[in-house]
Amino acid sequence: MAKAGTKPADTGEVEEVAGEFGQGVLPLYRRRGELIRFVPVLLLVLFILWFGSSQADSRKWIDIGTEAMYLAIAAAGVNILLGYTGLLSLGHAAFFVAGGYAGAILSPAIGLPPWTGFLLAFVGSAALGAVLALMCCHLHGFYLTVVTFGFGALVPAIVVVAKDQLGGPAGRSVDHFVDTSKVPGAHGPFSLQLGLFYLSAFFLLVTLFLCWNLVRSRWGRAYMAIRESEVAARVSGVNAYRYKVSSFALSAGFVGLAGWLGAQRFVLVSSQVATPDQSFRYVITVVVGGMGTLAGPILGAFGFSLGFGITWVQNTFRDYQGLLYGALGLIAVATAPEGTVGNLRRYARSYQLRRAKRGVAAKPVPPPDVAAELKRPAVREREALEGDGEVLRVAGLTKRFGGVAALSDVDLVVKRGSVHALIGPNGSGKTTFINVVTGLYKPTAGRIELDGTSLEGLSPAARSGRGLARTFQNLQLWRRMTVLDNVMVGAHGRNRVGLVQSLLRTPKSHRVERQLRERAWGLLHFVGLADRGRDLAGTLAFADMRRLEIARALASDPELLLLDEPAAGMQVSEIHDLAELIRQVRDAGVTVLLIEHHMDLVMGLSDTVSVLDYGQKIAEGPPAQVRRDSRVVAAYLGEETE
Amino acid sequence: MTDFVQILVSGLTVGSVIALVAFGYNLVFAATRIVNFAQGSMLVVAGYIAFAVTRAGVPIWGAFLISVLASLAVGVIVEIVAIKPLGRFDPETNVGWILTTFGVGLVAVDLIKKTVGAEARPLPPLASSIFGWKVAKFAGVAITVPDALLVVSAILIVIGLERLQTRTALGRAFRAVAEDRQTAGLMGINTELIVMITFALAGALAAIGAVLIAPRLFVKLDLGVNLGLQAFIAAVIGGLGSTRGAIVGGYVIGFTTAIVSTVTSNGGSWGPVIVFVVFLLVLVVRPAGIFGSPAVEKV
Repeated sequence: MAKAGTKPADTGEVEEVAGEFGQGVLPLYRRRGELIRFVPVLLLVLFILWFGSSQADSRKWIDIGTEAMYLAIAAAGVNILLGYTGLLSLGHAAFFVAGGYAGAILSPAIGLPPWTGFLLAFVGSAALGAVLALMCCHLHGFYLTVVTFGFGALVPAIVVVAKDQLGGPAGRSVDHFVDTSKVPGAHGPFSLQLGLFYLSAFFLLVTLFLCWNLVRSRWGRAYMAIRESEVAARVSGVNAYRYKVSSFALSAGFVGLAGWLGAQRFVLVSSQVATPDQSFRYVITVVVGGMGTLAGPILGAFGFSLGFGITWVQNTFRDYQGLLYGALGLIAVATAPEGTVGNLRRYARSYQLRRAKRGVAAKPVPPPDVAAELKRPAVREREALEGDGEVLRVAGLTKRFGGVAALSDVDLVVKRGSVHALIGPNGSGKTTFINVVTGLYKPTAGRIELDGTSLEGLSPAARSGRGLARTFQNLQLWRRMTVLDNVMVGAHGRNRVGLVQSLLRTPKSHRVERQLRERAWGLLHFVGLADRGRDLAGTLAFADMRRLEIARALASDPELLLLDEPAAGMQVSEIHDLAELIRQVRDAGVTVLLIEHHMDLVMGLSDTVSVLDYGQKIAEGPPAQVRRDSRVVAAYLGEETE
Repeated sequence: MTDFVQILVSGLTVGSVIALVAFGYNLVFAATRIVNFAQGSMLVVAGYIAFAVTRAGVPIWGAFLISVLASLAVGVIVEIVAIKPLGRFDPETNVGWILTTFGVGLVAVDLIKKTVGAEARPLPPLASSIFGWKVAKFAGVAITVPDALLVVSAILIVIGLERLQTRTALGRAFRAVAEDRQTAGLMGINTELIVMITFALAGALAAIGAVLIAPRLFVKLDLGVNLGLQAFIAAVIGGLGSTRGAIVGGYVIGFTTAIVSTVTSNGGSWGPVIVFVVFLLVLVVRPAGIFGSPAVEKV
């Protein structure tokens, strides 16, 4: 797991969060609705129109322009997986070929008009990607890359096996291609090519529109949360496996769309391009442009494609693409992991900061105020249950790691509306308890009930849905997302907006987004972090990070909030504030299970205290009573007991 | 009977070829949790070095030794170029190393292409006869000396590497660095040196592999990707980091391919498909591979 928390950022300077490969890039301070963010899109459209009209007589440059467009679509697809979800695939070139076969060969063969091929190209590749992802998205880190890499080896074998349908290594020619000379704007001697250029450009704009919506939606934020800390995403209600599969499928779909356009250009679909080298080129295109940004893949694709149009580059590197991409990959990963766009943003950011310091720039935009009822924790509406009064009932809970029993036969009941503390020396099993209750670990034996229903077999995400929320001792914030986004993902399970709705930003999706954002601002007001809402979570001070974790956990409107050593590393005054915050949480109706070492905090806050030692519960009762318990004293001070 | 012997011979030799490349992956992975995707390219480089030396008139055994020594240096260069600049990182979550090792491999192959050319080059076998014995025939299937050498060497390398990893101080250092690099450093192990040594040894293994494989497949550029990919699949099937896993993984691929090409009529084009299915099954059922130890998930 990521070693978050080992490096607390103790200044507010954004520059403290150094860029590392695979992380997101800095957002700029912007006002909502500022038109400046549409400038890049406008430039792109102007570029397309200028390029199309000025190069209409040059077959070479039109073809290069077309390639730039569909390579950008493919790179945007790879970016969804790599840049936003943090998963590296070295097999995506296969989806380019799959899209070509599905859209340009299969689609016309079943009688659909050639121009509708893009649908089958997208859907077919996405389906293939989903099948592959279903088999490999349970794998961690680079094992997923391993499967995609092996998948690349499969494609040449498949085309040989299915020689009659796919035409073997030579591929199949596209007999029913799109008559692109009828595309608006196509004219002149190369109207077919020019039409394809405009068609590709149109699809690039559509891709950009969809990605734009995606990253500003519940789905895009969930992807980024998985990238930053998968564990935290899971306990916040994100079914990581499902989201990784969807991200993989989406990204394969866009690469397939690019493959369809490529098939139109070459009037041929061949598996020759489905090599690991080609997949690597997609990845390098995204990395050099800037992972996790919308403009990055497009910039990278344009740079490479148009660069190859220069005669010198073409003559030097045509046969030595490995040299070019390999060297650029080495340089980019080692020295500029944030890519071109990331570095440009870094310059822009420091310019903003310098101006702000000189007092030239406008003051930071104040956080929006929201209705008072949104500024406090809420308890979800529920039916009255039997055995009410008990939020959590744990019976006979045992967890063994090999021969070591981290928990043995623990019984625990947490009463509704109380603050229940769980204390014990280091290594006594407190954090294991939380991990088992939230579903990160499977118990060896025992029952866990929340509100009278068993949690057995439920995933961490599903348990979040049932009303469990937690914080982490070693801070698992999504550091390269904004403070506000952190809280918004916290409410992930509290709303349902489908992927298609998010991609198209339907009115429903828009409405839910607005409600979510208001709620998140409200909770930031509650924990006192509203002023920092637009900053990256990684730039917060240590104590603020802990408060943000609490706000994120509260966003799911939990029945029970599990706080794992919230005061660790805090100063005395900060601990005092924290105690006040926990009290307010309880007063709002949220039950709190507090794991803590600071006895002042525990004794001052708790209604009940349970003590763990070597995985066993050795005492329980009101704080004053537990404090005098001889076994508790012995466990902490190591005295012999009678 | 002929079929059976044919499958046995073909499976063993193809499996050994793959294993010879896969050892390099495992050696580096066992100490660093990194897969050196440049391993296939290192094999190509070593092969061309050996070829260049033999063309200068040096007998093959001399060329073999020079190639091994030079490849130690190649391994170090790969480490300096691809791993060093990344600084300290967690290979589990920060996968930039995949791109740098892959990239350095592409660069190396293209540099060979630019300087030596893209043609396939032959290398003479290390031994064409042993005590006058050249070819044996079992049930009509020929077994040549280079093939026998290949199979025996692969097994010897497994034994040697496993002894290195379990019985020597260097091997203990490898395992300590793999387990916890920081603690290993605190115990006085020069972890950066250990990482570099594994890459150097991986280079030497690549040279041994190249010279043994060349009589069968020649030295050529696409060995890097094609053989490298197969060897990688073998290493994963057997369990990354496990030397005996590499040879078992190699045999799995070798025998699968041999059986499929014997059973089916169309010359074994189903082979790679079935190998991939086996590969996926292993990853789904046992992601750490046959001999790998599953990583414990820490929260």
